[in-house]
Amino acid sequence: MFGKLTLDAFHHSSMIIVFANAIMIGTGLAVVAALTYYRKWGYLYREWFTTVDHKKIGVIYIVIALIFLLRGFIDASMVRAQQATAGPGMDGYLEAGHFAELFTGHGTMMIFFMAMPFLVGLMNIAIPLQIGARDVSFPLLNAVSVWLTAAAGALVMISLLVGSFSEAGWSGYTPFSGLAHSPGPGVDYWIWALQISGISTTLTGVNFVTTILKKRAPGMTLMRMPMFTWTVLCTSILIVVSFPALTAALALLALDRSAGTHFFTSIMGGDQMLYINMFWLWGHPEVYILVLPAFGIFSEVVTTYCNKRLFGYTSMVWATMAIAFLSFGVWVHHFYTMGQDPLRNSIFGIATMIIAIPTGVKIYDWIWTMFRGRIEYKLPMLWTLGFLITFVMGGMSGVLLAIPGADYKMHNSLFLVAHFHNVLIPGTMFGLLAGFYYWFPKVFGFRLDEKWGRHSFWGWLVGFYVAFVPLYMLGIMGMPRRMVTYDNPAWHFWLVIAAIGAMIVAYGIFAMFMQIYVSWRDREKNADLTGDPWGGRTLEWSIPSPPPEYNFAVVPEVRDRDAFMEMKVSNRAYERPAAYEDIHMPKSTPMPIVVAALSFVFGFAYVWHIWWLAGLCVLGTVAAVIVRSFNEETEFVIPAAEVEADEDAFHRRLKDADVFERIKDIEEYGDERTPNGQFVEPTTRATSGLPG
Amino acid sequence: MRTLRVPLIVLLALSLSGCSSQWFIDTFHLNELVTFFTAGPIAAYQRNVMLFTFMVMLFVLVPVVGFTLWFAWHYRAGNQKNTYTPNWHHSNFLEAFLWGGPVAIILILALVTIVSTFDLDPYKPIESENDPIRVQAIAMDWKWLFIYPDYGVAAVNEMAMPVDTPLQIDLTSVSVMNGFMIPRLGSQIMAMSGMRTRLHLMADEKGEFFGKNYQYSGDGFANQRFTAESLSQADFDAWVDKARSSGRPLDLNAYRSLVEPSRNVDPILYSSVPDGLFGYVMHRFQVGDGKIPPDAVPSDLTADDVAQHGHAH
Repeated sequence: MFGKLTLDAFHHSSMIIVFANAIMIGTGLAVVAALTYYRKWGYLYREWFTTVDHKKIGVIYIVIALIFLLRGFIDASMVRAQQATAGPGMDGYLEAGHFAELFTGHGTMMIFFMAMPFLVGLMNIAIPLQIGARDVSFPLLNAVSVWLTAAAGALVMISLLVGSFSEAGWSGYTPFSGLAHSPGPGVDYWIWALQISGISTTLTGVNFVTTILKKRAPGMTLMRMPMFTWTVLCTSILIVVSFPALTAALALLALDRSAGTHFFTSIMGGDQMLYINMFWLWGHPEVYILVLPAFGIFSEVVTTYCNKRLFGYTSMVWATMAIAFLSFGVWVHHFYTMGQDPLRNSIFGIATMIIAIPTGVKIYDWIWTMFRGRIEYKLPMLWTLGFLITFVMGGMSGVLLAIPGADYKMHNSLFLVAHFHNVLIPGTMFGLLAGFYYWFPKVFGFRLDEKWGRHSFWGWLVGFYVAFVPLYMLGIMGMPRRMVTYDNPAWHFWLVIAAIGAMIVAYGIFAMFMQIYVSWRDREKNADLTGDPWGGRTLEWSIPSPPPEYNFAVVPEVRDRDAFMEMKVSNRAYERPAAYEDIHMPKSTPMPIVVAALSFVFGFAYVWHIWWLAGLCVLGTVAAVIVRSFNEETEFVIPAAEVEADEDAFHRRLKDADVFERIKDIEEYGDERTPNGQFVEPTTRATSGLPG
Repeated sequence: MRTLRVPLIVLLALSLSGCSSQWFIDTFHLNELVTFFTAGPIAAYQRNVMLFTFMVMLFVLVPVVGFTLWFAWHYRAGNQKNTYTPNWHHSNFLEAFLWGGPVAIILILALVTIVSTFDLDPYKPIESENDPIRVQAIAMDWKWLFIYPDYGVAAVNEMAMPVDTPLQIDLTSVSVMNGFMIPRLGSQIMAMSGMRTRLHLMADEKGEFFGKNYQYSGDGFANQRFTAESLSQADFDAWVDKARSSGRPLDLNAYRSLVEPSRNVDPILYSSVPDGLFGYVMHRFQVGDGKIPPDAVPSDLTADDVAQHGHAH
């Protein structure tokens, strides 16, 4: 009846896990009780659970990401605490198995349930607004994606309570992750969490390739797309092409574990190296899936806060495409030590280094965008500077590791761990946070507090260096990754420093949540009434904050890359049409949460081999899709009068804020504001002294 | 400049007094940077590749950090006297440098990559006046078995080698994937069940070196380490004699109990080892369930070369 699920699955020998469960269940119950007390369930159901609005879906993604940022960070802190207390003559406080669950959980959660949802959240919020569209191409599919991600995240969460999580590392190398060596439910939880979130991501990729290619406003040619849109297009293509490799690898591994096949086992002709190839065939493009949109965010941020056009746009576009293309030809560099011949290793080594060329060009393009600009040190710009300085170090250690001869020495050491944190934290995390601060006012209609934001920035930046420079040192000292104990006093010294670094990062994260609270409390004071708090250059800043459900009352006409800035320059910003038209928008639907709930139960049932339940869930999903397909009234109409009333209110706010006066004199692509929001006459505008 | 004064004085004081630099080394354990303090030609080569690459990449690091900080400070909005060119966004002259610079650096490093990768190929024998010694390493949960087929002895979690003599190490695993490395001597290579990988190492100084499995392999992973001793020829012969006279043969029964998972295993020496054991255990993964059947006898063991895969593919 219940497959392999017995009461034993609820028994945890470690008090730490019992305690963690108590907190998880306690928090969950408190949230449910609060929602019930304040009678918010109806509101949540109508406005959020059933929504197909890309902006709300984006918010849900980011909420998921923030929850998993906390969980992933707690896991990281526990790993740091264990290694700081497990030096010579000390054992620390964790069992080896629990330690393995923590480093596996940390990697899995940070990649799949923090970085990816955060990124997809920002894509959802910004892309339709940047390209002047009223929604994505497939709003329903979009809602299915977000709730599938939530279902996959819930599967990771419940593994803490029922059974255990994988101990095989976030990459789940075979044969360790096979049934013979990992008989528990952990790897199955890992497989199905990744499988469900992978399907979600694939659908998102399909959705955004289509949206960007088909739904751009008239006049927005490919070479007029904002850089963020370009990078998201590249990332979406990467998603569509690379995720099937992961899905296939995990499906075969699931068959090995539950159907007795031998694709990746040690015996019966199984090939453990095949899994590793398939995993990284997805895994390396995944790195660029994560980092390219962050590069796009930095491009938006640099141009906005330097009040200048982006330097080398064409180079940027080609560099992005080159990175996306090359990212498929480098996967072998994850396992130079698996015994390939030197020719093969050199080819992949050189291919890897070639990626450094377009990446370097992008870095220089941002730097030269700052040249002769007017740089305002708002939060997103701070994160961008932190990124530029820090990321280049990670790039250096990356080129070092790309040389097979050097990698033979550094592979699987903490040097490697330091390297990928050194690219992913500044590259992806700082980019996501910059985007978060940049677009927050657009979504919620108020700005985030600068003071706490600066605390958060310095916490992250200083904490990063204190936590990861020691890891570089430890790698050079020959310390392997994933050690629960060790007896080298030199290692202990540096691991204690790294743990202190984690505490400093913890302050940065605390300050960020504090910042959100303080900003929400003072939301009246921080309100963004004009929809254009930063002197923006792209279309999302031409509409109110928060935008109406239909985004654009009139679909804008694009004449330049910095579309909105061009409108300001040529005095056609905020133009109103002779008459507004009715707008058709997609209706809310409960179908996505039904499908997601069934997927969650399916994953859980598969983990515990409750086959009848898994079968029912598959049938249920198919039924939900069929039922939905008979629904012919999927749209509703927003009448022209309502649109006009919204626009009247928006234009009154613009007039009250003197926006029309302020933008009248803009003649060049620079902005009209100084940092304190005062308008200055465009005086010192010399022309470039550089040739070309 | 005033803000820099204190750290500058501290740095000066540190660099001026010899005892302070010793204090520096001791406090930060800099003498443990084993990647730089090498004990063999392979590791030394790798160190040189890394240092050279690092130097070349300073040509990237310094301009990026320098320009970033300079522009960030100089073009701050508060400094209204600066030239401001909001429309300027393209320069063929600059673009040529932005693409050309990285291309030049990567060309140099690509050359380094090709040469060093062929030179450091783990399968490539090391040139030496002395004939290489063969070692067969079997990764187990969670220890290493080292077989010396030329001497008929074996050891667990301990290996020895004569100084200035190349080792030809064949590796396989009877469990999950393992990564064999002795950081002060050179490269890491994977040990995988049913397959043979090969690694060449040589020590050019005497000493005891830390060695370990670097690929996570389960609960006992952290303590799956061994000592590699580089000895004079006489001491190495004595080590072999000590093993031979230990009176503990590694017969199939001893082998079967050794294979069982165990943690924190102290070094063991074996006086004898069945011929062909390495090839046989590898072969059992290719044709069987990976285990040595209970009715197997030493005469079943095939010769080493029967079941070898050569390069793992």
